[in-house]
Amino acid sequence: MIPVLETVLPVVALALGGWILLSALRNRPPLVLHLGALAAVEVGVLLQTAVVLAQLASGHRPGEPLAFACYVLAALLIPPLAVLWALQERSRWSTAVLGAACLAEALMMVRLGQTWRAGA
Amino acid sequence: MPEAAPTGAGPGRLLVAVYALFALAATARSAVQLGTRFQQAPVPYLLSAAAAAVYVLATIGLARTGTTSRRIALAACSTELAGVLLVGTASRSYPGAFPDETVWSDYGRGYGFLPLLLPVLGLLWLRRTATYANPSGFSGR
Repeated sequence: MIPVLETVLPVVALALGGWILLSALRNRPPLVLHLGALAAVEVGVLLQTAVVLAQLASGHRPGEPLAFACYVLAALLIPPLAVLWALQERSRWSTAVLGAACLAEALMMVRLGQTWRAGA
Repeated sequence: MPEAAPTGAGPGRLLVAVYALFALAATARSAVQLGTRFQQAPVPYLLSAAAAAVYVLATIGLARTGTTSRRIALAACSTELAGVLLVGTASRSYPGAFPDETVWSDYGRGYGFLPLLLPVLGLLWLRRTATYANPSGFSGR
């Protein structure tokens, strides 16, 4: 895990989620900018996952391996699934789905760090 | 007889998304519990697995359109409400029997009480879409 990303990613995801939910409150359908925000979060998760894979290869082990693996998978899957679900309807509620996904990502990132260091 | 409105449109889109998130969280949590610590507390961990199944069924039932899906959603949301109330009360009365939290322990406190709120919203939404016109104006097919 990159320590900087571990701190920055949840904060960025939280901020983007807040902004997207605000857009939903203002009755905006999903915009390209919103999709870009989710793409940015996904890139961050991919980067972190790549680093984790490298660290696993060099012998590091997460404190709670099974839980950690679940959080990695969830963090990778949530943004694309949210986008797929949101794009089937152009309404404020789809925008809210994207915002909620960002908030969930922030939570996944925090738990990722916790389960990695657990017991250490 | 007027046809019921789809449950996955309009506000239902967000509701289904949150349900899906809980289905994912509950499934993962119960997999970890059953996979690593089953011997410690079989009953709460089996409850976790049951909760996960209920969330998965509710998500599918609400996301899809049709009478069968609506029935599945109704059954799942009702079971969920009963479950969170029963397990919530049991975990408060007999804290010793629940050494590790399940999704429904203490009325879903570990999840911001969303497990208590979700079935209520789900049931209200099912009732609303059964009698009202679809708020988003979608035909649903």
